[in-house]
Amino acid sequence: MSTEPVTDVGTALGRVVEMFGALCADPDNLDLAQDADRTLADLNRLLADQPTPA
Amino acid sequence: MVNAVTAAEPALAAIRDFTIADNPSSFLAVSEGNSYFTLPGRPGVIVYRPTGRFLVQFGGPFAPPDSYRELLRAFLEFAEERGVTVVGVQLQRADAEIYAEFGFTVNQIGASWARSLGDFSLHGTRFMQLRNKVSRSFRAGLTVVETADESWFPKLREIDEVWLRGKGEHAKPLEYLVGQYGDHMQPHRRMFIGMIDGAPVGYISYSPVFGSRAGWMHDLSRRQPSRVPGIMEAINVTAIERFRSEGVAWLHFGFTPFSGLHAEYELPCHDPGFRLLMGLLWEHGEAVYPAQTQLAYKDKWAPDLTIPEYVGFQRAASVAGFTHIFRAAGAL
Repeated sequence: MSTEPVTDVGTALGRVVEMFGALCADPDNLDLAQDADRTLADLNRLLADQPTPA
Repeated sequence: MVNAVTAAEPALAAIRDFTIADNPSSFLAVSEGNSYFTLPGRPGVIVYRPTGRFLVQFGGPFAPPDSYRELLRAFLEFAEERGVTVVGVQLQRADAEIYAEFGFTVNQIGASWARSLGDFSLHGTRFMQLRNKVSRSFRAGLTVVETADESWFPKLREIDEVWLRGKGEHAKPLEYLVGQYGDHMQPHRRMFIGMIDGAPVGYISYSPVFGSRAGWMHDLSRRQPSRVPGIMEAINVTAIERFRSEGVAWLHFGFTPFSGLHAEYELPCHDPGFRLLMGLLWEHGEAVYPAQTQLAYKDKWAPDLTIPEYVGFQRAASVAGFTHIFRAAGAL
């Protein structure tokens, strides 16, 4: 899994899906859970930075 | 030690008596395998299953207004004492608004679908394909019976096994958020079986729905792989005719994850990123859950009511919490 910072929403969303899949295979992995939730937080940061439509 | 029958009876009473949230799937509360949280001397029950670091709650508290928040508060304290986190699934709108008050992040996770039966008919071009399929199944020798005779159930289990094998080597039967039959709650359900040459080829189990849209829910259903089209449709048509003759007002089709998503259904406290994830799983998540296929069957019946349903995360939206819903449902 990539650890490079993402700058677009699509890639960030893809990372969330990737982590969801990983967590499904290992749901009690606390580190994985924290990483997964971190990807969701990253996605939300990107969304918050999006310009608001006029 | 409280056995399953004893434990489920207060839940049955609660879903019958405390229907403010109008959860159409509330009968799942009495399924075997559920855990229950109650407060001594206070009405209402919370339904949950512990999985790892989470308590996955089904619906909101089935409780009257004067004990709802008290029960929820106590349940959150119960979770905190155990070092676990609550995630609620299939919260109704009324539940969702209260959970938001409690600091939960609440997102739409899908919708339940229902059809009013008062003026329902299969006339018109809208239902032409459906009528044709149903006719073909009856011409192929299908008969449909409603039965309370549980001696048929071993044959239905054989259909279940074939169905499950068709899902793949590692497929497991889902639970918690899907119906059951043949347990101690069976007297409250209705079973319609499709037969060809005296042998079951498919069935639909209907569960009771309480509240302002009382009726029956098209619950667990399976059929044998068959060249005969329209078996499920014919069973459901037969059931609808029976229900209409009894004056039943609503046929519910239950919850489809990731379906019916609309921005106007979201609460202000929703997580935008999680909302995008739900949309993606609707469009491309068939490997996670075949939402579009499932909705296509329900859409055949022209549902005229969409009921948004919600997931509630105790603090921020959580991929881990979402994952544990699947775990509680036996999907992992």
